[in-house]
Amino acid sequence: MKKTHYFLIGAVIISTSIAVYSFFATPKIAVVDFKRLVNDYQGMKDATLEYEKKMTGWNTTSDSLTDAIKNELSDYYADSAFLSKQERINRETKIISMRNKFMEFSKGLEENAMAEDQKMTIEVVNQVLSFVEKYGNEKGYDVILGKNEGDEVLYRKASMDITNDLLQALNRNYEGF
Amino acid sequence: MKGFKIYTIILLFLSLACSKSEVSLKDYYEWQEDESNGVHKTKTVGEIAFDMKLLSPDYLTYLELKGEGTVTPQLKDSIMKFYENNLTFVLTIGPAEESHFDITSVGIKNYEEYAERMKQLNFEMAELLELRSDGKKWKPAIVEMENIYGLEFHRKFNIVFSPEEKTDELVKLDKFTVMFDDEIFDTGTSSFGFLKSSLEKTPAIKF
Repeated sequence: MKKTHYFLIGAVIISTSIAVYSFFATPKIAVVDFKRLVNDYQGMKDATLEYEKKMTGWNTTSDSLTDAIKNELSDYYADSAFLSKQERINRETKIISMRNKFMEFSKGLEENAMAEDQKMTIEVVNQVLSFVEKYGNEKGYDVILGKNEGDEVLYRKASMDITNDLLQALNRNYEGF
Repeated sequence: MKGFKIYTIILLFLSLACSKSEVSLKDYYEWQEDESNGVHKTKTVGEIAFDMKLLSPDYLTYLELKGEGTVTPQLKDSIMKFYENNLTFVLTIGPAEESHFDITSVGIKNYEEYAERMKQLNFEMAELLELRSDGKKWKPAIVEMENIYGLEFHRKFNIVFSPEEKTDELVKLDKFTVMFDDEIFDTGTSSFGFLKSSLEKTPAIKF
């Protein structure tokens, strides 16, 4: 065998090794629009519906308290001309007490709504993050970057964006089938 | 006469083709564990792992008759019939892989919280579970936490859904989902979907 043949075989082996090495050494990276992933996640949509249902219930109670105060107040104005001093004091005390209760309820409502919203968001984001980890492992990704407003990912090739595939898999996982 | 023979052979062939293969309990467990067979679903949210298994009527009948000595086909069929009308699951809640903590005490700060956690696990799980199919919903008829006689990090719950209107309403479902609205560990709602066809493919157990 001529020297040139050895040289050629050597060159082929080296270039193949370099190609194989660079293939495995290059980290597999993908980018995900995290905001869209969370917002379009069926789990988020269902949790939002549940939250809205709870809010509707709370608001109904709030409305009925407001109506009760309005009615009491209008009755008081209608009757005020015929009330004794003591009766007037009693009715005014009652209205003030009702208003205080309403204020207390409204404050509690606001706090509850905030806490519920925060709890819901944390639960959903945890579900999404846990699935992204599983998906990344199964698909052999080394890094999955989140693309959000104001973050560090300034450019990514369209082919690196796996939001649609991930969202599809995430929703399939949520359905449980 | 010749026609009769052919029909007999065809019927024999069909009955053999349609009959379920009988396997040992060990093989049944292996088959059940394999998620691709569709009766075992897992989910992990944060540090909590959920594992839901749909149990076959055959397996439940086996458990009921284990150690009974002679089992007549009539006895087996009557017990099997009972289980066929219900849907039975085992939900295991435990720490995710690489995590090591007891789920009864994770996130607990004091005795009151521990007592509340135990109350939830023992008596309030039924409120958090629901079976759904084609817009219909069922609450579990039974949810019981299995006793653990040792140091374990996970807990198992036996869950049974029973028909509410018609005896065969659950048997007829082609696909159904068990929803777990986790108010205990705050992991949100997890769904575990199952197909009737997966249950039908379950191998029978050698008695």
